[in-house]
Amino acid sequence: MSRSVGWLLLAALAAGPPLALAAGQPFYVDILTRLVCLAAAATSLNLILGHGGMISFGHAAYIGIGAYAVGIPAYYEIHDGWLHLLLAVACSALFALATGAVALRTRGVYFIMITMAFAQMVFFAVVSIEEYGGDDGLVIDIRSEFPLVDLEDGLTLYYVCFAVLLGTLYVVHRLVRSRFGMVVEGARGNERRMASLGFAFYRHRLAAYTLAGALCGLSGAMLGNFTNFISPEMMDWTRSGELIFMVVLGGTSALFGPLMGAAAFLLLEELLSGWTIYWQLPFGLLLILVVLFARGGLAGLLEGRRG
Amino acid sequence: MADETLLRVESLRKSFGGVAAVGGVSIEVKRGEVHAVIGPNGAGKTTLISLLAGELRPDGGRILLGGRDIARRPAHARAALGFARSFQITSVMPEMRVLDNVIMAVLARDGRSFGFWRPARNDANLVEPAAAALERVGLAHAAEECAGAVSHGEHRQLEIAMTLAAEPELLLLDEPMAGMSAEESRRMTGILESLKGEKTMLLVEHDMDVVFALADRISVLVGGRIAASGAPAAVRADEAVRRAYLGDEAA
Repeated sequence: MSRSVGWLLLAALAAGPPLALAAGQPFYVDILTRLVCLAAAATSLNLILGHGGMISFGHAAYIGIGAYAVGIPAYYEIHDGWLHLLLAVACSALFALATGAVALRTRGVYFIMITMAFAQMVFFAVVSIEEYGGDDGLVIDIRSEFPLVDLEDGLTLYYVCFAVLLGTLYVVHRLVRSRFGMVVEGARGNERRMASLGFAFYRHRLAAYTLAGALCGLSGAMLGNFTNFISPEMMDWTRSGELIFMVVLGGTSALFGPLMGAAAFLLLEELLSGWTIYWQLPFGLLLILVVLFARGGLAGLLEGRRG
Repeated sequence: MADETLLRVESLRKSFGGVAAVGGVSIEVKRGEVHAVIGPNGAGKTTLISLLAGELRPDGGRILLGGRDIARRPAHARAALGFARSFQITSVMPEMRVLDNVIMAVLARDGRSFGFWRPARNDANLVEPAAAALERVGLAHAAEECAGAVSHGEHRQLEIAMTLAAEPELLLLDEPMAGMSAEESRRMTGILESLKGEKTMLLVEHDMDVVFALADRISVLVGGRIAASGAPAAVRADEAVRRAYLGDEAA
């Protein structure tokens, strides 16, 4: 059931933007572009959070790193898109590898705090670099340039972002079903047993953490291209919290959970913020209800599970 | 081969805050034998198993597996050397299927756990040995069920299937009969009996009927020390053991 709703959602995302344009509502293309980028980021987070049980509170750092991997080269008038993507993925992977190596030696609330601390380090590092705008951020005048594909066209940009989402979903789908994915999932279920079976699963966790960071860097690069403006605010810890919110709201155990969560998040944000400036209050109440009564999130509800 | 020593424990010691839980224990397990460790509550049996499995560091002494001292190796490294342990309190991956739990044990032995792309649950190299291990312990019917949802007796069978699937040199069985009904206990005894001669087992068990039915040799642990060690008949007859442990049962 959650699978079919997921496919339905993807079909709607594939067909939506041309329809919105035909209806004279280009505004919706913007919303959907933001949605697919954030859904890709949330899907990458779910690889470690849902499947691995590693509650990273610093995942927005990779959105920021990916975005600045577009923005900083663009500042120096280097617009080669492949270089941007390579930088986004490589820098994210390196940052995840280095910080994960330390963070994964901790457990529980300490892991949450240390991942958040590392992300805040990047946040403040970027704030302090005046050259790239510091607190005020950086405008991207020209988007990443690819052969044959022109990202300056809103619809083309949308479909490239959509392709990144599809790619992220597919990679995560393959990873969690592989031998590697089984070890990561097993270590979430019972560390002691996995050690006694003979797994040194620290390495598997670190690999998963690195892969999730790299994937998220990619969606960050797309988000940077979309907004044309990047700032440290993109990787603030509240942004990391929003990604967790999406994953938990949508459901951690399903492939399409984070996509559903991201869609519900943006929809609610639109609706509630039009209704009251205190829109975060009902948002918080909703999350409490989900955690208390629908542990499997939206995907779990669709499966008839309440956890 | 018959008399070859597989595991030799030499004056192993472990104290917790000045209390010697294991105070100089020496045990010898020969290849192919079932060696039972019995003892009253608080005798140090669980500490001993944890020391052997590598979850605790000993304060002193040696653990020789096939002549190699492994006393300071971590738990996961000992598994690679041929230890497999079953837990007294069921310890499985509760959110995974029963079959997946055993696949995990096969995967641990197989060693190639860094496959990132091909689906593991369709891999005959993993699924077939796992299914065979479930068959062996009579749990094939529950393969598809969620491991957290099966009965207590089935959990214990799953524990044994996982240790078997790891194809270890030595099975460390920590109270496999704990909390079982008489019927479940009989079935488990049958399973262990069918493995006798084929696998070397170090069995820690409370149930005296099981111990005397299965064990080739018995070591009696009292107050963190081995009070007696030998064939079941000799241990049963040992005066010190009768006093210290079998006491009210045997008198």
